[in-house]
Amino acid sequence: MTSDASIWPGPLTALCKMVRCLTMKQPHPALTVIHAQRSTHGDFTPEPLPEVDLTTILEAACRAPSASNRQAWSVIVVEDHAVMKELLGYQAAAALVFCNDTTRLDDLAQALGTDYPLNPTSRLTTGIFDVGCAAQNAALAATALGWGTLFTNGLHRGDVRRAWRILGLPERHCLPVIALLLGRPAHEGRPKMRWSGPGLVHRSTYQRMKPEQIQEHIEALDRCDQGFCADNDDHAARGFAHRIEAYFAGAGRGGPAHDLHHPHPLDLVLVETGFTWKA
Amino acid sequence: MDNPTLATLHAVHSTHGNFSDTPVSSDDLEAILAASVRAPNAGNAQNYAIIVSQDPALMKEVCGFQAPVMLVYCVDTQRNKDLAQHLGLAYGCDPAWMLVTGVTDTALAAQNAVVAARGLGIDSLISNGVQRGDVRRFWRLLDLPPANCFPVLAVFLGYATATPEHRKGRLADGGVIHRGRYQQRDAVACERILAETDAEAFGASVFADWRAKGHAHYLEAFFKGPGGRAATMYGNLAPALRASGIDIRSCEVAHGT
Repeated sequence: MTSDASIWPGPLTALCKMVRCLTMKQPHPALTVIHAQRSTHGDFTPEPLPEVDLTTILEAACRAPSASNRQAWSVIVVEDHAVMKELLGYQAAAALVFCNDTTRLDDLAQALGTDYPLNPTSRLTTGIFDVGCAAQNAALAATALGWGTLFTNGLHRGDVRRAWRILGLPERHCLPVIALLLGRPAHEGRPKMRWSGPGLVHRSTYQRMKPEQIQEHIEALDRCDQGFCADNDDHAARGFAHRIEAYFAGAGRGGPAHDLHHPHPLDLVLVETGFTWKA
Repeated sequence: MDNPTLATLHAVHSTHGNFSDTPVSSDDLEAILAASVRAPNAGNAQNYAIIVSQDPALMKEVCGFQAPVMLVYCVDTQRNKDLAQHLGLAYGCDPAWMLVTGVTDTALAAQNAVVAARGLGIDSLISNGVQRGDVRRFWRLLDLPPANCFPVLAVFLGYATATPEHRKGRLADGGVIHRGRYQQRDAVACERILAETDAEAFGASVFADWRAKGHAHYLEAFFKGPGGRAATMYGNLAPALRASGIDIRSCEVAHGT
């Protein structure tokens, strides 16, 4: 009996696996890539990004949808490591700096003897959608090709105006929004968890979370074993009961509460570069 | 294209209102939502909300057309403010940061949704129509929190009654891609871009008839048409942003205060 039984489990398991493979719906490769995308936090190897892959990534970015197909964005490809360090504080094989940019359309309108009088609010928000769709396409293409990626909005911290000096950006109607670093990750990693429960995905209308849902949400974000935390998360060591508590207490990237007398540097830059509007 | 993901990225195209009645299965909808929330975002704080609607009457009121599913993407710091308050803390978000970073995060999530939909054979449209007209209607229709939450775009999902004849053209090198530093455009560069955008497929679905209407260039028709109207059609957006907490110096300057 024992010997007979020992013959079967292996082939049976293999057969079961094969049947399951044939009957289960396999996820589309694009979905697999979407779920595999993760942030490589600065630990890129020195391996360069081949021009053919860079071209493929840029082509995917350009294919992204944009309002009225006007592509109100531009991308600066940075491969100079010193420039990358000064601009973003990171080193990677390449950095793509995506800008909300209507200066191309301004120039084209002027060449046609007309103008492009955008509503300033729409210039900002719709331009950022165009940027976001293009940038995410670039990141998905890079992930599909096996490259590591990191999005950073570090351009908006510190001396925000350095991007104009370093990259020669037009003075008005061009705003660097987000940078995508590309390279070979030095270490394996896993994608961080995302919240998709109450408070984020709402059915039919917006529902404010009930106290018990808030508690559930806070506790879910503490589950480091499920990948909600960064690998170097130290909220417990720093005396915080919850990860999100540590985030709110300092790392909450929104910075200090709003004060019109001490505006965010980004706010001042929006004024200087023509993204102003009447409220 | 050998890589199926790259092929999917290149196959995404907009369906402009011609969605059939064929519903999107609930499995597919859940897969699209799961893909959408996977998108990278600042600090993994996910400062956005997605309102899922399958109510045709609501869609009609929101955007003037219908699809089996509408996803309204909102920048939303209210969720994290609620979490902070529950812990006896405050979540202070600078409004300029909230606007720029929040809109970026929603765009990345929305792009994931349309790519996932394409992978599943589902057609889509990303629309910024939620920013036009009486913007405050969303607070009424979708019960949005009065502050710290505002709608930025909608994604419509369904099956198109017809596929477009042309794949729309896109600018790349010499248009949107700059190597090393930004290259300013001279008259020659402008002429080259105008010629490129005059190509058959470029504006096909925006105005196929620009030549018949006597315009020298596709973009001339654009600037004199919807491009020109863009100055006025978003007039209600700034007051709505201000009401929802986007009260920043760049608003004040236009007032001269």
